[in-house]
Amino acid sequence: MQREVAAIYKFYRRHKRMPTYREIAALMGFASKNAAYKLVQKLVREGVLQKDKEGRLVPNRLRAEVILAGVVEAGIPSEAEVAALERLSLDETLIEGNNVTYALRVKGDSMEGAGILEGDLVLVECAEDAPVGAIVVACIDGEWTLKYLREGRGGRYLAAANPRYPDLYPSESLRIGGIVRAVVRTY
Amino acid sequence: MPIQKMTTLIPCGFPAPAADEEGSAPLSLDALVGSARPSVFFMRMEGNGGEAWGIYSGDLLVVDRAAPLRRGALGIREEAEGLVLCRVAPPARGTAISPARWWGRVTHVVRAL
Amino acid sequence: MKEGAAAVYLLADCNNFFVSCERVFCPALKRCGVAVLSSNDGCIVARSDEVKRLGVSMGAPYHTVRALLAAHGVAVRSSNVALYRDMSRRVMQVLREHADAVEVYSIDEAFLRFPATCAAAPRTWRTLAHTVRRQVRRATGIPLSVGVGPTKTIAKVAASLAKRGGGVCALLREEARARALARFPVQDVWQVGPRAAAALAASGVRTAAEFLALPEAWVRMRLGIAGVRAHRELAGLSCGAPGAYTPAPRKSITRSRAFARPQGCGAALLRAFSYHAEWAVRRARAQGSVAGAVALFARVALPGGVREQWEQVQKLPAPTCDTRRVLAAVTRAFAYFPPEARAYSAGVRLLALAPRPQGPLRTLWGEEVGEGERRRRLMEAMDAVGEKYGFTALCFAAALPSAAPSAPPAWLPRAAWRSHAYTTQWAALPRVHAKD
Repeated sequence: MQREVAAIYKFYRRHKRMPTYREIAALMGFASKNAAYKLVQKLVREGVLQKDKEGRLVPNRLRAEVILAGVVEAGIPSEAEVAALERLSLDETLIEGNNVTYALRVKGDSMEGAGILEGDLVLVECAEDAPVGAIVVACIDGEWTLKYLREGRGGRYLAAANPRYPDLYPSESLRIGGIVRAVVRTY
Repeated sequence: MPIQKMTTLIPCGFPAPAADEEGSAPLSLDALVGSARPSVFFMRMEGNGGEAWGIYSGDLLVVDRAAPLRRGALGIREEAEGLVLCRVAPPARGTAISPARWWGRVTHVVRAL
Repeated sequence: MKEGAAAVYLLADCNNFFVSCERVFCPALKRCGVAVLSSNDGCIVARSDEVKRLGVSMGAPYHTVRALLAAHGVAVRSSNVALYRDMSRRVMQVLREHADAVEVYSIDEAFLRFPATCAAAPRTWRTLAHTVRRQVRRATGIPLSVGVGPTKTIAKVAASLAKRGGGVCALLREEARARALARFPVQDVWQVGPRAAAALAASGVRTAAEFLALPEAWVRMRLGIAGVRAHRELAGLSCGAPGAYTPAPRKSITRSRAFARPQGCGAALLRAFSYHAEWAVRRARAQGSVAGAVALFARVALPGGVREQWEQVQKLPAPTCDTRRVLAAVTRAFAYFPPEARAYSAGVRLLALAPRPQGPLRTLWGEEVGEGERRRRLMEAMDAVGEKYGFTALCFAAALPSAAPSAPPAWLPRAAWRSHAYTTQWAALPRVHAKD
């Protein structure tokens, strides 16, 4: 427990603010925010950490009623705490993988049928392989393209989501660069 | 894991993921769509009525209540049946777009694959 | 008492805030009355204008008005705290774009403080108020009333006038202020509690203007320092920077919760009462009050399916804020709980609250009552520990939420009509259909 407390206080001293659950998870090497949340609950129960009226963590100053609402009353996090924990973030929800994610701007209309239009931004997670059926960024015979990965009798090939484009069979090589995880369009 | 911004385009029209640019600031989708702004809300598309606009059931709509409504933009309207996605029609001659029943403008569509 | 530099205060007050939040995401609610219930669906905590016009009061137990609300087609919602907090954050964020000094006074009210140096004409302040109102409405969909005044108290008066129509009211000019205060009931003035209002009424003072006309010495003598503050603030002398105020003490303190499962007359039920009592007593001590009586109440079902409200009031031997005395009274009152009944909710209300006397309290015959010095120190120590380590770190065993420290108590909030966490959960986002 000492180690965790020391790490949190060190963060506090350096950044002049308390870490978020996400940052606590990173500090402790936890895989999930939930584990960080449990640790914080424990530290709060033990009086090491406290939360202010807004549900934010503070090092050592707190009102009894907040602890009451959070820990004692139901033994489960209050809605307010959950709300603070769950402020919606696209980055957190879309970027799950451990690999580097790139944002690429789409050119052309070959993936129109999949709802990926010219000008859209695609988030591509780097990967050396991809499941058949995924939308991938791949290098086929030395040219990069964005297509469905398909598999036929002759092996893997790339397919557009637009009948005007033919399927692409590699004559030499087909290399996967990454898997499209999300599409973002700006109006 | 931060998102790396990619600007290099390769000749055939697609950017090359291999050519990452060290030093370019990581891209934040939240910053891009303005998640932290008080007027920005998320909604979920349901049904296939938006496919003509490339919007599919389950897509995430980013709606900015404060964004000005432009003719031809996609907006959310308050209808009897609830919140409805529709195109801002050109107003009748000589009248401005009445903001009365418009909830907000759709600024982005995000689809997780 | 410090008098602040000349400033102008805008009070931004959200109209029927919880109801407005519900209406933003469910437009159909704009066409009917809406009532929002407390977190355990026990009583009314927010009303739309339609519901106010029906005469339904704030805090009314839901079961007493259910039929009336249904007859008028009023939609009922359970409290959706996650949504209200998120919408509040958005409102406050817009307000912060307009002023550097924003004091968030409650979930739906904030004071914006501006230096009056620019000596702007009232029309300009009015324009600013309209701008703030419009931008909050636009960004969040929440309607506001904005009051403008040279002090917070006057801004509060202005905001309640703004609620009656127009949405904006500025009371910066002397003559406008005098006109408004002449018609404003003194008990509605901020920081004038019901006790002070009663004292004023007894002296024939009914309006804010009449109160303002009293000499300060009289006010100080009869109403104490809180009265002087209200008096000075009404006169246009600001008493302190944002944050200097503490809310007026409550005259009763109530705490109740619905049970997840009905509880029979047993140890667990007594524990729930004691737990609520301990919480209420701490609240009383925190505001410097002593209680004269404690009431236990519960919604119960009797054999044969009869439902009723059970209530038992127990007078305390002397006004006190000593947990042990209150818990003893709770136990005595609990003896009257019908043994065959099952409770759906349990609550405790501390009644006849009065300011805690500084010296020892004496009866008419001069004998000392109330808590002795040692008891007072014990309570202070418990509060200090509670403040630091949490409510149950050190409290009376009877008031522990459950016998086993880690086991969750049997009462979890009920919320049958809660809307979705539209803004804080991906799975609960508002759903949209397309239409050409």
